[in-house]
Amino acid sequence: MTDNHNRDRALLDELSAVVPQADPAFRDRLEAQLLAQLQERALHTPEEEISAMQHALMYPHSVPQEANHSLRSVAAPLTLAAALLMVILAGSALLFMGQPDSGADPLAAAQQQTATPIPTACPPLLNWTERYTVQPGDTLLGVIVRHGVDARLFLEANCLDENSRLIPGQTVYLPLPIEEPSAISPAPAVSLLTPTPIGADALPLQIPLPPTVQAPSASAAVTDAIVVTLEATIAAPAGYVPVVIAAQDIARGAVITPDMLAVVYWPLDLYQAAISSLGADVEDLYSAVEQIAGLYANADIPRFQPVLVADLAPQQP
Amino acid sequence: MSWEAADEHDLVVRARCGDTEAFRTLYAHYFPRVYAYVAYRVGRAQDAEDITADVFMKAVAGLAQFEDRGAGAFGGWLFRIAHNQVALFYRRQRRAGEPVALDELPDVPSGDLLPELAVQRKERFARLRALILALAPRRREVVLLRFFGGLRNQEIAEALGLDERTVAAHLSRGLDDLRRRAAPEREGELL
Repeated sequence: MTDNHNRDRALLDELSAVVPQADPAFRDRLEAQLLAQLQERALHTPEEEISAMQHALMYPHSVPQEANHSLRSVAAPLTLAAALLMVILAGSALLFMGQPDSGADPLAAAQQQTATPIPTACPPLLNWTERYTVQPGDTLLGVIVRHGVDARLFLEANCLDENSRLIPGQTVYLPLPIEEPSAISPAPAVSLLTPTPIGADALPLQIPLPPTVQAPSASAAVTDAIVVTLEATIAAPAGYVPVVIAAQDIARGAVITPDMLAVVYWPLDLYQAAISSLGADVEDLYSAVEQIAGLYANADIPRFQPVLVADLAPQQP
Repeated sequence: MSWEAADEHDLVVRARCGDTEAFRTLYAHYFPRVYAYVAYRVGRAQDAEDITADVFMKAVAGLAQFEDRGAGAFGGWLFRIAHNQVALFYRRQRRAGEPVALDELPDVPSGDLLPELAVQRKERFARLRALILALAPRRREVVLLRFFGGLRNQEIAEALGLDERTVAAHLSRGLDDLRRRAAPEREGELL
């Protein structure tokens, strides 16, 4: 017993005595970089957050346009994101943008009934009447990407700008699901087999789902609209990156099968911003379904979330 | 000075709002621990620096998304990032377990200024690292996070997605295994 105790003591002493230490110059250099990054990302002081929350509670459809910088770095990606995310939805939204229809937006009616002036004029957008309540952890970019909406229109429809910050409990507006695509002006389709390079000024308005993709439920049509293919057999257009996402909620421990996955194409700039917002890296994402099929889910993977390397394991967790 | 969960929560909230002093305090506490954990996992000092930098960069980038779920949440979250980054490193490099040249190992401070003692320290680090890396993966992670990450069982549970009792069991068995493996070397005065 005493021998064991002594051996344990010696082992613990050994462990605590052999602790590698970083080069102090590296430590200080990294600290300086991190502080710079932190300040760049800092959106609000606590007082401003309180003020923003109070404002949001008073004016749920209007968020103060505060001067901050954290999302400024993704402003450009958002602009480009607008390009791709407009692929399905935006087609219709743009067609109707600017047309008067105050009755379509509940905010418009509310504005007419109240004498309180809304600080920011925010013209209602037709079809943007689907409400979504911001959840803890939601970010502006995350909501835009997850719902597959045009970033510019999203900001406009919600009186936001790229510097705005979403607050849990806040209501934002999304476009209504497109229930009858045929009613929309026919859009040039992109051949999935022979993809055409997509430029910002020559965007397809609609990408048809291949036959292998089951049409999702109507309520999820907006988000499903960004699903392009289950098979990563087509080359990504120039400037776009294929990303494997969960086509359904995947429970931890489940064996991944191809029908659980889908591939979407993100513009390169959005891709960088999105993986950064996930706290991930380029190598953390998958680009083809076959890289994943047969592995096990190491964590719950919510529907439409990109599948990360850390989410998967070769054996059942 | 003890590191209280309440203080840490306050520091995290302030750092999230851009308070540089709060972040400096968190960094001063966690940097040596993250580095030591990563260094044991990857061995080579240059790799350990690269990965440690990635870990903190990701932590800062993801600070706004961090959900503080109580005591141990931040340490667990930070080391989960570290754990994932090391896994990613091995996925890219495919050289887990490769021997690392002595001059590429990180420094192991001893308080001695004699160069030959510094070399001995590095050799001890290399041997201890080899013993730890030979443990079963879960036991290895728990031992490293406990002794070099400085995490409590609750924080380790958070980092690895386990419950605390499982962590305690892995720690106990990991130390048993380590002691058994170390004994022959100790008797031969190798360690």
